[in-house]
Amino acid sequence: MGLKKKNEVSFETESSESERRATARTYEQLIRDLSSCDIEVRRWAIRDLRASGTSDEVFIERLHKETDVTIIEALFSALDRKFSSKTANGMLDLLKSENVQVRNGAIELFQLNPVEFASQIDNIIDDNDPDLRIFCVDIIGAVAHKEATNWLHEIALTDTDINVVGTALDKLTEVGDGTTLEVLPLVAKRHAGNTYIEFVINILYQQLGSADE
Amino acid sequence: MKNIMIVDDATTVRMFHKGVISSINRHIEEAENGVEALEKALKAPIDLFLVDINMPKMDGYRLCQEIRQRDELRSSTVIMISTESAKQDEERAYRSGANFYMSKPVDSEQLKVLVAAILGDAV
Repeated sequence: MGLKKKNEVSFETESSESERRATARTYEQLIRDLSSCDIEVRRWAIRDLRASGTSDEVFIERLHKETDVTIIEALFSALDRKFSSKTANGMLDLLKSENVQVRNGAIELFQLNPVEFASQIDNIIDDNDPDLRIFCVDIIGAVAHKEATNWLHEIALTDTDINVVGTALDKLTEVGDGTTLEVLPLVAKRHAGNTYIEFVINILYQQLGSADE
Repeated sequence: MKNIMIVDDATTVRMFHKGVISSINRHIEEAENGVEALEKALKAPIDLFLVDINMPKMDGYRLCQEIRQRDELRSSTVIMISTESAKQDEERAYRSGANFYMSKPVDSEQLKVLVAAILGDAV
């Protein structure tokens, strides 16, 4: 590797030696390359920016615009390398993306990083968009976190949107435990007459044992 | 025998919808996402799809577009059932090729009557 000039970044990546780029580019060039119409140029820009320790915000911003599935995967892979609570906070808006690959990529990354996801729970649960709260419930249902069941209880008991409550109950059929039985009568009372909610609550009683047992 | 497919990533939603339309004597398939739905539908053609919008791997909009692009499935009826109740979501569903749009939670009786009418049954 040659001498690095000021503002240039090295091209060290996890890839093999043969994949290394022959010429150095400045940080500004790499940022411009992220928007290149050439997919390979974008891919190399991600690798090189990642190797230079670039801020996650750059990758998150690109995810709002990117349409190529393989580049979206590369961007999420770059974010996963040093995932932090700050990254998680920056990614919240990706859950509102119209692009299903972006949305699902964000969900998967949150699922892989339960501690950082947990740091954002309050922000998501208080969001005005019920669809975002439903995605949050989906993540809670899949995330391996000791508080997952309690979060679902709280959402089932307090959320104002019937579909968010329904999704929370659906996830409780997968991760609910004995403590869920204490929550069910309150949810049933709050949503009396809703056939789907009553249906899921009955399933939960069958799974967990009814209050009469 | 006409076939129905319920496509939703939530197990209890599939169970609920299946229960609602079970009195309509038809074979009912299930799928957790658009990819699984498409794979199954290409093996055994489906007359009526009940499709959720937000699903992993392939969402309901994309599934609907795929259905409309395939000769074997093009004539199928699609009811899109979603938590998204904004006007633009409904319009997007129709632009994707849906025939009907319902918001969750569905009115059980309304769903049953609609499915029966589509399949030419009396309720």
